[in-house]
Amino acid sequence: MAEQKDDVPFYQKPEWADVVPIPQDDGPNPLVPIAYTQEYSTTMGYFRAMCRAQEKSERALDLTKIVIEFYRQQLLKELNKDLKIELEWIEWMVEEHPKSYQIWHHRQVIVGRIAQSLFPSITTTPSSTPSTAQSAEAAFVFNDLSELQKTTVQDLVKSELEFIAEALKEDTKNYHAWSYRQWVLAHFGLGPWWTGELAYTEELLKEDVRNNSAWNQRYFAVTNGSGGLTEEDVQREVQFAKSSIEKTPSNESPWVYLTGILRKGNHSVTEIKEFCEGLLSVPRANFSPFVHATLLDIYEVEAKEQRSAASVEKAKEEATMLAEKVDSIRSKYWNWRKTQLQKIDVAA
Amino acid sequence: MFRLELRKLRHVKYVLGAIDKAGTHLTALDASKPWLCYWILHALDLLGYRIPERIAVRTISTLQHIQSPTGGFGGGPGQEAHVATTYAAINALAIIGTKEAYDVINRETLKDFLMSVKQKDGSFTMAVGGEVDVRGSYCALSAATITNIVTPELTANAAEFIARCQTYEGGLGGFPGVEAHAGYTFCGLAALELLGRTDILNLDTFTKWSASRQMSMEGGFQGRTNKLVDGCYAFWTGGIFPILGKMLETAGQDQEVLDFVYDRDGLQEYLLAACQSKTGGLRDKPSKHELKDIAPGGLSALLWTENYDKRKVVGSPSNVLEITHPVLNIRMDKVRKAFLHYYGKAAEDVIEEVDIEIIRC
Repeated sequence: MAEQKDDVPFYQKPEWADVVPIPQDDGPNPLVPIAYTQEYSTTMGYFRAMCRAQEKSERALDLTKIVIEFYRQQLLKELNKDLKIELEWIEWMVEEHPKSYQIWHHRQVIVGRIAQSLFPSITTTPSSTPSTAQSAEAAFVFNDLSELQKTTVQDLVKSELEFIAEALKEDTKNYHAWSYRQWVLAHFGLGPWWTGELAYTEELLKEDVRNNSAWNQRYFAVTNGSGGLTEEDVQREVQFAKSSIEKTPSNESPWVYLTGILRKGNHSVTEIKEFCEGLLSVPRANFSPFVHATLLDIYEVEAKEQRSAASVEKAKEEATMLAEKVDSIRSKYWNWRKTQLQKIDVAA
Repeated sequence: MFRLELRKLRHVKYVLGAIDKAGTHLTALDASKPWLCYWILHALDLLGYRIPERIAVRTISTLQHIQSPTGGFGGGPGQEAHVATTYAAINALAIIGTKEAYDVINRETLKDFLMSVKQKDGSFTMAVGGEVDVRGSYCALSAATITNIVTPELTANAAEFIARCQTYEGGLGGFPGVEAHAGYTFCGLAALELLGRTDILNLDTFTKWSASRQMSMEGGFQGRTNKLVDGCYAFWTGGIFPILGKMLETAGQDQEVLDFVYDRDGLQEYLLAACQSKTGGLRDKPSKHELKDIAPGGLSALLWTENYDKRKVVGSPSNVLEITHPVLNIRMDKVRKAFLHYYGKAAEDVIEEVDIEIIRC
């Protein structure tokens, strides 16, 4: 939505004539007085007047487009506004201020209210409760909805995910956009949109395999989507990460993802031992600190489990390699890991 | 040999210049007045510049006008209270450290405000009806700790929420599920330290993730995996290590190995050589011309590198900064003074509890 450009400032219009703006009371001689523009101080003066009178009106609502989030949310509720139109306005705001905490949160509140207004009888989460993807209960159980309700919800989720995808095109690592995306996915329960998330992250990773936000999102989708990580998920994701590592062994993201998925699925890191040792014969992989770091982890686990002196030695070699050759900025960390290895109780 | 020097006088002049007139370009910070006060005072404090009486008086008056009638501090006069600006206002007043400054804070309404943003799952929203994230936990607990209004209701489930923010990578995100990020990691860890619950994290992945944020080429830190180096993360990531050092010590590491986790020389060099501006102030990276007032962040970061465990200063000996508290982020002597004021006779016990001696020098 293109915001109307208007040459006349709002406060010169007749509907504002009765309002007396209240100047800012900084007290005498304040620290860091900001050289506000006239426009800014006047606007804030009118806003203070609205707040003091607790005025609930159209003109106050218009003013909050310029000024503030919470007051606006109360007004939208009080005045029973069409929330879909509000979403259009937010879309425009997000384009202008993609990194504003408030504007993304505002959208979350509005979409939460839309969800509640669609099915007031079954929605469990009051939309005014701030929630995060994993701390919030889903608003309802998707599978319990009627076919018509399911379609309505799917349409709403789809349009939100598309809206977020647009913002992510501008900045693929926009933290607010990703946070809001997780909230949308989780808030509407276990619907079919979760499966699309795998394809979406795969597409982003094709464009930029180092996009760690996309890897994180994939982890979120895989571990939450079907109500938990299944054995099938683990196998598929391990394969996915491995093939990414084979192409770009120096990329940290798939390495952390791989070990993260194994840990979450209660698999031992030693299961990828052959894979890592195999990479050592690939020249460019041999220089990757992550190959050696993972081997260090693997040999350390082996040493502990089998009380094996040979594994301790292998682990030490990797730590030395990391500290002295391939990752010397972290030499203190790797040398510390080496001292940890001394403490392992091995069989005589 | 070329000697790296922290140009203290230049930085002091830069900071003092901002006090009487902030340019129109800072209008964006109009909702962050307490932050401006805190940054200015903290920067002067770290540089060892005695806060002049007139500045103290003006800060007190400015913050008095910003305190909300319903508790806490907003961004400016008449603005709604916000947890982050409340944190900044209380730190600014604690830096001044006089009875007049302490008396500005209405502890009764502050408690009401903090409880009004506390959620059942242990998280805090940034403002009433605002967004949840782990910054809220840190800011709320820091403000409550300094002013002695911590209650079981305030801390219930707080550590559990923060632990859920730890991701598979090892660092913490803004809330559960979201990507690990150095800013949120510092906030979450510092909050856990205030709660005495750092043991709730996975220590191995946390240590590895933190160490991995230092960049091989530049020596500076990135904030997330595969992102670029930035001076501000010298503060956020650098701030993790003093607390992490203590966690490892508790987990049975001996003193000798505590100075291990990152390359302090590398980071100091990055800050001194690449981030100092000719006109005073510190910046994110050399390519940035426009300075955003991050001077105290850079200075604090420099301090992290200098004074953990045993002092280690790169370049000129005059680069030494004053000692700061790694969790509350105001000077150690100012924390002690504030505690003596707010806790009375119990102060010494509390000082021990929040591990004020964490930094030895």
